[in-house]
Amino acid sequence: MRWVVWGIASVGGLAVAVGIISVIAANWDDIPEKLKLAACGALLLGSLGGAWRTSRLENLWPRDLFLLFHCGMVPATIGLIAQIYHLSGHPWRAVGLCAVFALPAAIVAKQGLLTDVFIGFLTLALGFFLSEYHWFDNLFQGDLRVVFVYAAFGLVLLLSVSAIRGAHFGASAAAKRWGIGLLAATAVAASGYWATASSRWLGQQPYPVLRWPMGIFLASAAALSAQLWWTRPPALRARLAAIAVLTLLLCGALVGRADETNLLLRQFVGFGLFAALCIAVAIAAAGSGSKLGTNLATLTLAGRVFVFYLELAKNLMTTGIGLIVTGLVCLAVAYAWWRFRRTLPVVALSRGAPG
Amino acid sequence: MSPTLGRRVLLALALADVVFFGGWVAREESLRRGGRIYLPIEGYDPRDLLSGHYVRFQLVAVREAAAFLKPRGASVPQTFCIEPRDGLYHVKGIRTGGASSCSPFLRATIDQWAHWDFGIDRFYVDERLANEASRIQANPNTYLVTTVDDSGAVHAVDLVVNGKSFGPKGASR
Repeated sequence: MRWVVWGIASVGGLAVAVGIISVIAANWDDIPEKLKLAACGALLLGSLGGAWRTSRLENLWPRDLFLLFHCGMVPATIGLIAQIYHLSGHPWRAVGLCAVFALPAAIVAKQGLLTDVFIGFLTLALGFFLSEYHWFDNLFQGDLRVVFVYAAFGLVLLLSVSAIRGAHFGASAAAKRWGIGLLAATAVAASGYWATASSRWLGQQPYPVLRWPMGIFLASAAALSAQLWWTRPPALRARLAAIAVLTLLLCGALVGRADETNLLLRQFVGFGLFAALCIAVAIAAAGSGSKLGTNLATLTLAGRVFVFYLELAKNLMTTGIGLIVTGLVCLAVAYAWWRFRRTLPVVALSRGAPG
Repeated sequence: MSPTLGRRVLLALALADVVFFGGWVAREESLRRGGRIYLPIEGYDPRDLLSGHYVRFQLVAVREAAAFLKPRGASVPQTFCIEPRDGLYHVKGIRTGGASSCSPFLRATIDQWAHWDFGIDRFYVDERLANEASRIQANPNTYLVTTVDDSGAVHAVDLVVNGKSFGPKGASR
């Protein structure tokens, strides 16, 4: 019943807030510039004032909400100043500045949500920066440079997890979320690279091959492996296997792509590596007591099997092979679940983290 | 983190807000008060994107500068001398000497399409005015009112289309 009341109140509050914003927007050009800047400054500093006032409370959620509001006001202020003084420029600088202002809030906050905001700004700024140099233009036609840069960023985030866990548990959880999320996104991108033939858009010029993005990825992967070996976390072998398979999935995607005749082989190998990665991640998550991680990895694998079937179902031969591989993967997953059926619930319970 | 340290970080953040954003606004305000330079523009394209309503344009100086020096392969930043002709400023050549060799001058880099980029390509206006601007062709009474700082960077103050000011009242003067 309480949730129903909160739900109705939230909808009401949201409607009022959006209504106020709409009324202000309708009269935006009639509001003097100085008043706009003053109101923006008041909201910016007022959010910090609110955080200050609530920082001595036992429950720190209100303070963190004020800090979250401040993180939202920083891009709003940058946008307002740009609008009033008719400024244009590089978007990555504005987003990077937001990340700089979000960092102290992330350090102070008890919740990991503020770290999510900080890493989100960083990820976006990196994307804008790479986009400015047209790195996204032929994402699937070049040397996977964007994929390697983002994968290296994800690995660096995972490297930082154990370093900051003692000081800020929420921040380390956020870094872990983003690290795994970015690596998952890069694995999906690399998977697409394995499954498609090289073809250029009309008039699109290939970029010169860059080796350093792959170099920083390999260095980060080696550093994370060494850290894992040193700290000996649960499911160490599965984690190391996941890193090794991810490396093969990303680096191997660049091998032999120019030769379009071996597409079927590439599709099979790419699928096999992706499936192996999902299985390794599922085992590592289960070993760490994360039921959510295990379920997500298994679900991703199921999705990839379905996509693989669609990739291959072009004639009876490929459909047949696809069905055989699908069946074998299902049998392997079923066997893995049967094999670990006793261990998984025990590990999950002992960690006390079923979610 | 201890509550005291946390409050100190909050204080530092507030100070950073005031210094950075306050300083930025103060700088832009002071730049607005400089001598007016009228730069002809062309190529309207009103947009309604996340940035708000604004008019996109290209300074005529972009073409004029390219006639003196092709952007592709040129070293950046590059500075170009400008001079008034019929009330509007046009590029008269590349600035070769020191600060005293020509004044005023504009500083340019090269954008991603290999054009000279003077760091200004939009003017924020009301949606109705942006739509109005879309129906008007470039002409001698259409120009951007700017100030130019010591480094040659351009700062927009007003947009005048067909003699009609689109900026804040009194900005063109």
